[in-house]
Amino acid sequence: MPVDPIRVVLADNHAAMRRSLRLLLDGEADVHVVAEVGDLAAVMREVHQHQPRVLVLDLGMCNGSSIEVIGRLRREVPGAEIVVLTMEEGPAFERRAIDAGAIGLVLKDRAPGELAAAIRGAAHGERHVSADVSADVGANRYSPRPSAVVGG
Amino acid sequence: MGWLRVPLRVSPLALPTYVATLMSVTVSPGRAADADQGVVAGAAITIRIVIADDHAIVRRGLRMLLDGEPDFEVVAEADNAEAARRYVHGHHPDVLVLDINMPGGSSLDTVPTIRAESPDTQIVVLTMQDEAAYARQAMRAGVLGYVLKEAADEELVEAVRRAARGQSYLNPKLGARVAAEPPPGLPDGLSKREVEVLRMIALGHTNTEVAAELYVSVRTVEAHRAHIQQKLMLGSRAELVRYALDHGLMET
Repeated sequence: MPVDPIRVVLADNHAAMRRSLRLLLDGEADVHVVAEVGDLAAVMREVHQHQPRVLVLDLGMCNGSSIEVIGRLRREVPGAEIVVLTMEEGPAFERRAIDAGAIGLVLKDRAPGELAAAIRGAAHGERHVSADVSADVGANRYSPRPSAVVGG
Repeated sequence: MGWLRVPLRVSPLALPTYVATLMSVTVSPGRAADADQGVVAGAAITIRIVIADDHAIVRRGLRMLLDGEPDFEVVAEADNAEAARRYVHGHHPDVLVLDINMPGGSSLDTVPTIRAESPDTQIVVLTMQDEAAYARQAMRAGVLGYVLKEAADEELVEAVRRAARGQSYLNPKLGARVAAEPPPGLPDGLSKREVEVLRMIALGHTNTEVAAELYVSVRTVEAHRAHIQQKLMLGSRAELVRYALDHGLMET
């Protein structure tokens, strides 16, 4: 039985990064990137419009207001799971992303090996956190779904 | 042009060339552009590039962007500023594409060294910083191209091409802002009000006079002044005056 591909919106404000990610995801038969965006206003717009299953969101976008966007989108488009890409934003910031409702957290340099798996997991409501991050963030506290459990 | 009889086998696309042949006009493709931009005729010269970014996945994207150009060749990839310096020293590329925000301090600090060691290599920086002050600082450090990461797909190729010709490139929006400044957005993060205060102090006004002029209390002026001195790491009035002079604050 053919399965519908996972519809993904890809958000990263670094054009070269986005291109890399796009190429990466285009190589996955079960992932379909429906839109690519480079700023947070476009993220809101495209996620509302496309209602993807997964949003891949660069955490470093726009100096941290990406955290607010996570919260808003979780409320407004609850069907879209959010996998956050992180570079060196640091554990506190990453924890806030999880607290705000992101289901996945992938280090950008781990993206080639992990992003597709994280997207698949997210599509099934499963958390994926890159190993290096989970040590810092204490991600074991977050399984399987956060919000209620997290004290801070 | 009733006299021009075009054989049927000449396709419409080939028509201009055909007409030119008939009329004995030498058509040199891209000549206007060459004259304008100083490209070497024939344009078969390869632009050799070193890219430096601490993230492999970003480097891969950059490579994809640049390798899409037939006359570009990425000769090395560095993952930190020191490696960038070494590779440039070894390869003497035409252009170094340098991420400004790599770990271990600003890559801008390496720019003067790289420029000194390999004067024929021009530098294009990639940055998230869309503030005019940063752009100005980078240009002053010896960078020829200033490209925002968010605009890399549209601007990087052009910036590299221009750099290889010894021409600068600055994101147009940013360029407009650089031209419009100073005063707002000085390099050291002064607020607009602090700039006003600094300017008046530099012009010789006392705190009381500044307060009266700005309709604030003397204590507020003192606070502004303390902040300014803190931000600029300057103590005396003389130093503030020099700073104001250097940054063109005394002119208006």
